[in-house]
Amino acid sequence: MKRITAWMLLCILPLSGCSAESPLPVSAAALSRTAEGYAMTAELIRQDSLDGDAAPVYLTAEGESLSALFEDADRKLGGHFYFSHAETVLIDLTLAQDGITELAAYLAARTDARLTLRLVVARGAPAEALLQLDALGESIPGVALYELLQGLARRGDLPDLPLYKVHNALQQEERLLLPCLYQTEDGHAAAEGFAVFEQGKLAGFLSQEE
Amino acid sequence: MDKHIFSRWQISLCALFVLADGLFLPLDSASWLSLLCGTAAAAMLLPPLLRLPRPLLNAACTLLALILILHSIRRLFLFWQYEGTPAALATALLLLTAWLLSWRGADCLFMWSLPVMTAAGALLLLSAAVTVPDWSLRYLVLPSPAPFLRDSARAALGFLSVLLPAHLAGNAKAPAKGLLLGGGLLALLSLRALLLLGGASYAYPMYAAASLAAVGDLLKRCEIVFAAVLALCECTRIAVCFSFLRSRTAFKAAPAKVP
Amino acid sequence: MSIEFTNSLDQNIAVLQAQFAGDNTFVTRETRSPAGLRCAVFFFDGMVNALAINQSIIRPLMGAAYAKLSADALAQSVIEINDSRVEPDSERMFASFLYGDTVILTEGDSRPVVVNTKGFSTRSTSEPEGEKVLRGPREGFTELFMSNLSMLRRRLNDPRLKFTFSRLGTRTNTVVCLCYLDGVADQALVQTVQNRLARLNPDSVLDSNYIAERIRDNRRSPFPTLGATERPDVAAARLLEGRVALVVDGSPVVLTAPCILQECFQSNDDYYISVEQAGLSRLLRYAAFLLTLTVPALYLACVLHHQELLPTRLLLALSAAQRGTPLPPVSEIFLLLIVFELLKEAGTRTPGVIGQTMSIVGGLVLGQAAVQARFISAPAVIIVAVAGVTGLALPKLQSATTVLRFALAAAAAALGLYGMVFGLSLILLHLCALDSCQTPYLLNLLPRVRTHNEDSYLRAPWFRMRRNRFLARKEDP
Repeated sequence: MKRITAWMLLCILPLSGCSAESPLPVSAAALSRTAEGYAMTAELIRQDSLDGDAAPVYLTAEGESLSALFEDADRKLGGHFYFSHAETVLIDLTLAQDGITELAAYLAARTDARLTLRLVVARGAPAEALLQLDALGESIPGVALYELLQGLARRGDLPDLPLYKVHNALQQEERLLLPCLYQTEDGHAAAEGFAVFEQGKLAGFLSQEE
Repeated sequence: MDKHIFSRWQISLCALFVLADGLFLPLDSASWLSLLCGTAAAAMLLPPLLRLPRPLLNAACTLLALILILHSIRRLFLFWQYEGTPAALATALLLLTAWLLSWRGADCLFMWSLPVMTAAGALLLLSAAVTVPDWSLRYLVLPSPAPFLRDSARAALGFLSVLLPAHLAGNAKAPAKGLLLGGGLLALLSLRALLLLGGASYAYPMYAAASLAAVGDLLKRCEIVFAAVLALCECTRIAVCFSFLRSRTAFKAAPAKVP
Repeated sequence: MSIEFTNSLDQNIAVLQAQFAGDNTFVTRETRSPAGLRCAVFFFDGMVNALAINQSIIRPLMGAAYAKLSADALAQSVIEINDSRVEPDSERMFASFLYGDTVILTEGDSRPVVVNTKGFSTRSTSEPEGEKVLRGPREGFTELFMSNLSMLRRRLNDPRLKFTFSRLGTRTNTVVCLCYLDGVADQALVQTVQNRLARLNPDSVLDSNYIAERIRDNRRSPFPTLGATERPDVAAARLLEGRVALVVDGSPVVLTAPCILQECFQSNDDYYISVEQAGLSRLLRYAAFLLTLTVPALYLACVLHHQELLPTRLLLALSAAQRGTPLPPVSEIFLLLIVFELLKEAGTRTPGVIGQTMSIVGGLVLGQAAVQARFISAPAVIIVAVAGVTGLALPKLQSATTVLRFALAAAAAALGLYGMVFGLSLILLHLCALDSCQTPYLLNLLPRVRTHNEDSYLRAPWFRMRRNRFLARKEDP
């Protein structure tokens, strides 16, 4: 009996810390460079009931470095900034001009970030504004963005460049083309053309035909 | 029924023992080739090593077992810290499992290894197979001779630790086959990582490459499955070391018959 | 129980009446023939065939033409029943007497005559509830010992079928029969079981499980290391495979040894239906075993530790379902697993239709109401239902799956997939270490022997079965 009790206690003890964490998954994030460092607008998905629709909520964070930026986001959510489901990162022109090598390396080193994450450059509007534009056929703009980029990549209209390929290209100091995102006249986000990166920094843009 | 240690059990245990390195392999353009060459070299060196004088072999294996236990615990602890798993609790469970595996005796451990190796091998092959469409052959380059030879020698030296299960089995032929199987799988995993990730640096490249294995939109980020399988291989390695130290064997375990 | 009889009939009657004083079923009938032969007939009311006693014992005794007869003469010339004998050993006499035989004492002889007059009512044979088949024989063992042996004898019409009797239980004095096919069963196996039985000294044996738990290997293991069946066709098949069977008087459950894990995945149907259908059913049972063990553990591992494995929509649905419920997922799963076991227990104990109705009411209505009241989340109910229902596909492994399901769920809740993988590997290790009567428990599954492969993971068609014996080593002469 003593042995059984000891085994039961042994089984139950590790469970004492287990509780239900219902984080709000991040679907996409927009990053920009500021005078103080970095700024991020993250789109989180919230669903309160099985019957209700999922709705996006937005969180902004700032930090001197990328790690400080993510720590700030984490702090604002009480330690529950859950980046594992993020599929798209919008890069603001300010950040693209400053260089994305550090960003790609940082994201690739984060255990929670997906290596299949897609990076896209915001053109003609701030990245956080593009992120919050209404999407067609999908209530979560970040998810719609990923589906758009994924679909175009599958069709061959865009180069298939998930994070791990971007990270490798930047480390090998290769020329890199990332898709651009802009706001259409009817207020939606659309992909058109490419941002050219040389040595990790924005060197110019190419149209779809070029 | 008599307790035999079948040769396929020996092959499985030795393959699992070798696969324990799977999570921690470095990545460069020629590491998969170095692994293959190192495996072949170690397989050739194994039989003469087992013919060393008993006292010398026992002393070497005892020292090797102690070093391997500490080495395995350290590297797995660091990996769990990196990955966000409660490292202390996981290490405690790892040691408990390894201890229980060794406690049942070497014959039981050998028998246990066959289904475990079958499942582990199938999962690792599957995780490699589903990434094939994303492989990029442009990352394949010819290695420069000097680093390649150095890496091959280092790999061979590392693989010689299979001396321990071979010594437990009292046989060299089947463990050498196990070594070739395990080494071949490691080389495949390394090749997969290279063809996916190129030359980019990652803390754990094999783990990072495994995270790209996906089955449609349903199963993504399966790296945890990959890590759990390889953690079990590490656990097997520690169990073999415990088994050896427990029996202080060589003389006792060697008589196991291979039908 | 031991009594010394004397030549005085009156004294012997007094001794027996004193022994059974207070037992109103004990009947003493004294007879005196016209020639002067004095006898006493003893039996227990309700356990004997009254007609046989009246016509074949009392009437011949009353009409005997001698004034004095020895016990031998009485058994041979007077009693008109096929099975009557002089029994000088009082212990054996009492064993038969207490089991429905009639004892006759005569004036001037201290040796009793024992006559087989058993006549108690028993249940008729029927198909065992727990081992029903769609096709094939539907006969089941009953509580009647000799009838059970006859069912085996009818199926194995072979002179090498041996029935070795022994008695166990100082109070119940239960007859136990060891059955085996001589030349097919390994002699070492027969000896092992005989030795284990000989070492037993139980107070009572009311069912075969009284013996099973005492003689089985690895008594603490949740896996069955001794086979049990209520079907004579299964018992006969196992005897043909070189196993031994233990038939216990008063129990419809026959024990078979050795028992290997492979048996737990076999069903009687497998051998009576087409090989393809049997193969598919057996594969489903393997899948059911894995699912019932791992589904709750996988759910907890994913929800608590590896949420990145879940598709975003599924994660949202799980989070939404979890929101507003008072219990964390671990407690939900553990609570529901316990409730499922309770419902199962209540359903089993409640008679017939009420039991089925209660299971449905408990399962559906309670589950639905609890989810609607936000007491528990719907995914937890689904997970436990899947684990529970798949577990029912393996009746022989129910105790193992119930215990291990909890243990694996605890390991997964603590350490996610790592805990689950380590837990599964320890279960496998336990199976590797198990033996049943010196036979590896994973025989035919892991230590594969070439000639015994026709019925391991899947069954081969009957025309390819080279030998219908998976354990036997000796060649059948």
